[in-house]
This record gives sequence, structure tokens and C-alpha cells, in this order.
Amino acid sequence: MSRRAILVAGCLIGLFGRPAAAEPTEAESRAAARQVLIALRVLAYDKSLATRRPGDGVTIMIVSRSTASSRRERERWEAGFSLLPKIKVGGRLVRVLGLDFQSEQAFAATVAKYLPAAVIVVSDIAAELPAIRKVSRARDMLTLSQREQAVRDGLAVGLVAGAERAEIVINVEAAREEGVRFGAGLLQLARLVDEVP
Amino acid sequence: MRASALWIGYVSAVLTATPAHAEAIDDLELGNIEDVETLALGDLLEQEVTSASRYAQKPADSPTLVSTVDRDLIDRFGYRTLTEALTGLRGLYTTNDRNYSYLGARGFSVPGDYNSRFSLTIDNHRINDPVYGQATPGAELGLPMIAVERVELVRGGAWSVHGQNALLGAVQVVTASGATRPGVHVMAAASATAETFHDPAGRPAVAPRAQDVSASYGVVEHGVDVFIAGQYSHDLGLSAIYMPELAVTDEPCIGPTGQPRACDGVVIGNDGEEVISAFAVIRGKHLVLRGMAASRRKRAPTAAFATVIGGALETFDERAFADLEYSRTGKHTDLVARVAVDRYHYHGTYPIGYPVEDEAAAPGTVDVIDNLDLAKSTWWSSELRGRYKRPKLGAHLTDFELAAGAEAGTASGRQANGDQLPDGYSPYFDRTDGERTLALGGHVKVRAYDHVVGFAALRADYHPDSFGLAVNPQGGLVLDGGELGRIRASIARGYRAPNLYEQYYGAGITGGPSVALDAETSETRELSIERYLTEHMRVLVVGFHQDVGNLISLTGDDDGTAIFRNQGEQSSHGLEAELEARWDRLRLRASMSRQRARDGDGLVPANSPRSLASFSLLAPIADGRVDLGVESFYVGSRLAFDREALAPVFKTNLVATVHRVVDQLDLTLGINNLFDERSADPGSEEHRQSAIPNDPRTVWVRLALALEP
Repeated sequence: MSRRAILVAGCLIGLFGRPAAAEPTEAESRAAARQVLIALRVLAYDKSLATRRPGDGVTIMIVSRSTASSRRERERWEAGFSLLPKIKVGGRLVRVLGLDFQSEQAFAATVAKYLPAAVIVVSDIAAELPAIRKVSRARDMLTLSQREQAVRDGLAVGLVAGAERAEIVINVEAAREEGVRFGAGLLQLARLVDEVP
Repeated sequence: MRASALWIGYVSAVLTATPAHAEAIDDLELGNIEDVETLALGDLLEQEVTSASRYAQKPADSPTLVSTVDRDLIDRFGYRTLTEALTGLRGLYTTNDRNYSYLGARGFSVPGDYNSRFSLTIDNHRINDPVYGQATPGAELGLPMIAVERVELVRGGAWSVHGQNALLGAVQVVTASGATRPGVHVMAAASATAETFHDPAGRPAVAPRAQDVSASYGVVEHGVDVFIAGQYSHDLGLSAIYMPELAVTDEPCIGPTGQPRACDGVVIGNDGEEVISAFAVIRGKHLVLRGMAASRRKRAPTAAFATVIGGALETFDERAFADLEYSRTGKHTDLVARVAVDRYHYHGTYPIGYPVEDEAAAPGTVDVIDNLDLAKSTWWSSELRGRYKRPKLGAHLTDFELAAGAEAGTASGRQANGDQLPDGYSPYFDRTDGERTLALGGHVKVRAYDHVVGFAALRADYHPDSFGLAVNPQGGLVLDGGELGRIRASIARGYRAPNLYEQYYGAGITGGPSVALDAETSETRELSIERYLTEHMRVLVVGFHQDVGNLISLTGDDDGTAIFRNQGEQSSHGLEAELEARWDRLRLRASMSRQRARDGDGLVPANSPRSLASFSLLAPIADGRVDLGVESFYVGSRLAFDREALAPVFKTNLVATVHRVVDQLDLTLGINNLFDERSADPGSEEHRQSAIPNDPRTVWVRLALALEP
């Protein structure tokens, strides 16, 4: 590439390429809303939802780390939910709760207080997974992630991007430990994986 | 039951079936969705394709059939180039002349056309260069495969979207991002030939071939998505190749160091390749900046273009581009603006042998003069397109979409040729030509009564520096039966403008005036039925007819000079069938096609197989710890340019991946050409030989490390 081309490209970046604002774009929000619909549709397959989480609403928790990128992903999920103000699962209105993971105790306390039916674990959480897994199993809370590796590490459901279709990956044993009983319709659509010890 | 009754019955069933895709999720009024259980999960999971209209859309809404090769297939089969990824797709076949690789579709592949009849884009950035119009799918493209998220292929019918060059099809590469491939990924591979049969070239049974290292890094920070990838590969090539047409008596032959050797048809070495490339993309809120830089150096053993047999014929291809895209999405509208600059540089060294007449010299001594061939092109392109969409339009119309756009470009191409003599460079010609292009186009799409999708497009391309104006329409209809399947019908016209090489190279060599060339034209009609047998299995049957006219081809004048002219035509029709299935990580794909192609004289064209077939299977075993894959391709007999019939090609590849051999490390073992079949691809006009040997059995091993956050 010639120097002139580099100069022009640099000027254009300088003019328009400043760091993006923190709030998710509309396109990102709409893409996130699509992910939310998939997550909620999966949750709707849980036959034990009404018994493990009775009440007039369904709470979904989104847990991130305290890093900027992690919060950014959580904000995308929240933006997706915000585009779906009337959405219901099992006839019950969905509420959203965002949380920065600080410690296992704090996480357990928040779960105990709000009793979410499911927790969406953002992608860059790794070291905290054992604690999230432990609390989720103790509190019968479905865990969802966008990483297949997290499902192999003990979370229940993965909503994994693919080229032709997004893919649902389920760790059946983990789902069972979280008190979830998925219908056969979902298990036929999903790819089942085992936990890697 | 007569066939027509069956047909009517199927159409009726499609029209009365419950549509699973009545509304694309993206076009739903999200705020009004209440009960998530009214949505079909399968529908939510479906991914869009982009190559049919350059906008993401569901396959059900796509007026043309799009085949995709996703990252899962690329990773699990270990494809190293787009050529390998595309080989075996329905109706597609590839040819390799041990320098460049060529795509063929539906019985049409002009040997030596540098794929100028295919369009190639990377994230909608056009790759075809102005001098040769190349859509280079082999290693010469330089895009690291680790950066590829998926590859889409449209066969014909995409001119209104992709413009010129998409005469036979369009290949769109969608690249990875920091979000889809986060963290660090490193792959290292090595290969060696492992031959069963004694080759006439006298090669050792086992010999080293290639080493390949690629790496990528992806991250999303502060709302900016960054993905970078790089690759270096070095292929020694075959140590020796036997080509019987090179066993001549009236020409000199030389060995690797230039010394005379017997003309026994064996070329020693001269087959190696070296590729280095880098790709980066930065995605912000509204802006995307992409860039690529790549170079490839390749030795060719074929003694093409009348070079001395055994001489160091070498080509060097270098490509770079920077592309800045601005996009903004509203509730009912979206806008894309793009400006890009590309550079392509080709340099070929063609050793010409002159027998030394000096009696003092040893018999067979050859003076080698390097003929240097060069092309350098730089081009700027810009684009502005917008789309207006409405989820509902009246009582019975949904998914309405109206798109319009304009493209403008300017290119400069230098072509030069000369001899490197002992006393300096002696040019035959050196000329620079310009080319400007302007295009306006648009399309409209709407779904009616839930089941019928109509599509119409029109595109006008203006080439003021060559043939002028080309206006091409496209129309399509989809009868969408949801989970039952779909019927598609489409008709499209297209064109290919003569490139600078075709327009001016011949004139440069002869010193004469250039011949005014008109655009090639094409018309394709296609009818397909797609049927889901179960949630996991899909079958597809396609019938097509394609006419190509005004073909630009190299012709000889009475005075012996060769020059490009519009002459000839070709038509083909055929039937294709495809089966695709997926259960968990088990993936199956099989296809067959039969086509009949004829040129203007009623003869079968060169490199036009009557039959194609492919099969691929990927299956996890040992509780998913090991992936086994097998793929086979059959290409029926083809004629070479000299009308000699080549034997069919049957090739099988085998691959096995052991996951997590150590922590995040995967180990893959592969065997290409498992049965060590000695096949050949047709040569082209520049070759002495009608058949150019393919690679023998090659064994490879790959380590893949994934350090994801």
C-alpha cells in the first residue's frame, strides 16, 4: 500500500474512528434481542420451571466480571432485553437483573434474594465458573453461556454461534443438577455434550 | 402418476404448509412480542447468508441458492485454502496447473482464465483485480484460513448483486471477529508425501512437503472488536515430476542448477511455494476497517509459455488492500458506505532457453534468458447503498425490502514485458492503462401470503474506457413451505467486462493497435426444490440452463500473433442433487451433478466434466474426544485444450482430530489422496502438456492451540 493510501486511511480513522460510545448500537441490540429470544425459548422448554420458580414473574440474571469488556457484553444482553419489554415465559413477565461478580458469597446472596430462574454467564468468565456452578446447582438455577467450553466446564446450556445456524449445546447432567428438566423437543434440536472432568 | 401431477401436488403441499419462516426475526416488531413460546426455536437459530443480496438474510428469503462452508468444516477438515474448502460443493470442481488453481461450475471452466469469470469478495470487499480480473482461491489469495468464519458460494444468478466477473458464480468470504474467535489461536502443520506406487519421476516414497504456521488474536474492548491473523507457509513441492509431453527431442532441457540434462520428461524440483500473509479487521460502533497484505512466490515445473524445460519458472503475487466501511442501521432503514484501495502486483520470471552454437561448449548447453512479465495495478473503489424495509405492508405483504446503491471505481494497471539480457533489461513493451467504472443498481423483495417471496433486481454498469454500458436484470420467486421445503425459480442476466490484460497485452506484445472487445454475456435459469426430510436432513434438486456469449478468448492471427477476441459461445444444462444432514457433531454432505455443455460448434468444451460427485462425513467417536472425517470427490472425464480426453479424477481425503491432547491443544492427522491415485488436471493453451499431474498421497499433521479467555 502506498504512503498516500496509508495517510488517507489514517485521516479517515482519525475523523471517524474514535472509540465507540459505551452504549450498544441498535444493530448490536437487535442481535442481542435475538440471543435473548433463543435463551428464553430454551428456558420455556424447562418442564420444572413453574415448580422451581413459582410466582408471577421470571427473573433472569446476567453476570459479568468487573472488566470493561465483560460489562460491555452484559450491557449488550441488557439492551437485547430492553427491546423486548413485553416478553413472557410460561405466561409470566420476564425481569432482568445485571450483576458484577465480586465473590461467591455476594453472588450467592444475590441469587438467594432475587431467585433468578436462569443466569446468563458472559463469555470471559472462567475463573469464577466453579463458584457460579456451585451456587446455581444449590439454588436450582439454569446456567447459560455463549461458549461451548463453559458448558464442557459444567454450565448447562450453550448458545453457540455457528456459520449456518446458531447451535444449542446442552450438558444434560449439569442441567439436571440445576433442577432443570428439558423437553425432548429441545434435546432433539440441541447437541449434547459431557462435562470434561 | 405423471410427472406434472407430482409437480402440482408438491407445489400445493408447499403452499398449504405452515410456514416456519413467515417472518424473519430481525424484522419483527420486537417490542410487541409477548409469548416467546409462539416462536419456533429452529427459526431463531437459523443464520443468515449475505452473498445472495449483500445483506444478511435468511436462506428462505434468498432468491438464489447459497452453499456455505462454515468454520466447523474448515477446522475439522483442515482446509488450507478456499480452493480446498470449495472443492466438492454441488456442481463445483477445481483445477490446478501447479501454479494457480481454477474454479469450474456447471461444466464451465476456461483453462488459464485466472478465474476471471467468478467474483470473489472478502466481507463484501471485491478482490478481482483490473488487469486479470482474478478471483484467486488458492494460496495465491493470501488470506489466512484461520481468519475465515465461513465461505459462501452462489452459482450464477448473482450479477445484479456482485456485478461483473460473477459470470459463473460468486464466492463471498466472511471473516472472523474478536467476538467469534476470541483469544489466541495458533496452528502449526507439516506434511510429507507418502507414495505407494513407484512414480516415473523416481521420487522417494516419503519426502517432506510443507510447513505452515498461522495464528490469530481476537478481543472486544471498549466497544471495539479487533481481530488479527497471520500465516506463513513454505511448501517444498514435489521433488520431481514426470510429464511425458516434456520428453522431447528438439528442445534443450536443464536441471535445477541450469546444467544440461536428458529430456526424459522429468522436471527436478521447481514446484515450491512460499506464502506470507496478514489480515486485520477493527469493528467499531459504525465503522469497520479491514486490511490485508499477502505475498506468494511459486515455482512452476510445467515449462509453460514455451520456457525451457526444467527452468526456474517463477511467479510472484502480492496483494494488499485497506477497506473502510461505515454503516448505520435504523428501524426501517440501513445505510452502508465504503471506500477502499487495493494494490496487486504480479511478477513472472520465464526462462527461455537458447541452444549454444559454440562448438567448445558441452553438448546440450543452453543459454537461458529470463523473460520478465509484470503487472501492477492500484484501484480505488467506493460504494454507497441503502435499504428500506418494512415488516408489514398491507394485509398480505410482509418482509418488504427495497435496496438501491451506487458504486464508482477508478483503476490504473501497468503491464510490461521484456528480456533480462546479460547487458541489461530489454523491454518489449511497458504500458499503463486506466479504467473507470460506475454502477447503479437496486432490488426489491417482498413476501406475499406468507408463502411466496418475490425478488427483482436491476443493475447498470458503465465502463466508459472500454465497451460502454451493460444493463442486467434478475428475477426470482420462492415458494416457501417452511419446514416442508422450498421451491425456487430464478432467471438472471450478467456480463463480464474485458480486463486490461485482454484488451492491451496482445497489442503491447505485437506493437499493433488494441482490438476493441465487447463484454461477455450470460443468462442463467434455475429451478430448485429443497425438502427437509427430518429436522436433521435436507435434500435439494436443482435444474439449470446457462448460456454464455461473446466469449473472450485467445486467437491466433494469420501472422502468427495471438490476441484476444470476442468469439464463441457456450451453453450448458444439467441437474444437481444434494443431501445434507447433521446430528450433533456428525455431519454428512453428498452431491451429484450431471451436465451437458456445448460450445458454439456443438463440441464439448475443454475442462468440462459431464459428471461430478462428492461425499463428506465428519463423525465424533470416543465420546467426542476424537473426530473422524472422510471426503471423496469424483470429477468425470474432461477434455484438454488439445481435445485429448483425461481420465476421471477420484480423490479421497481422511482426517482424524484428537481433542485436548494436552490442555487446550488439538492434534490432527490427515491423509490427502488416500488411495494415492495418479490423476491429472487439464492444461491450458500456455502448456505443452494436456495433462498436469496432481499431488500424490500426502500425509499431514497439525497442532491447534486455542487460548480463549
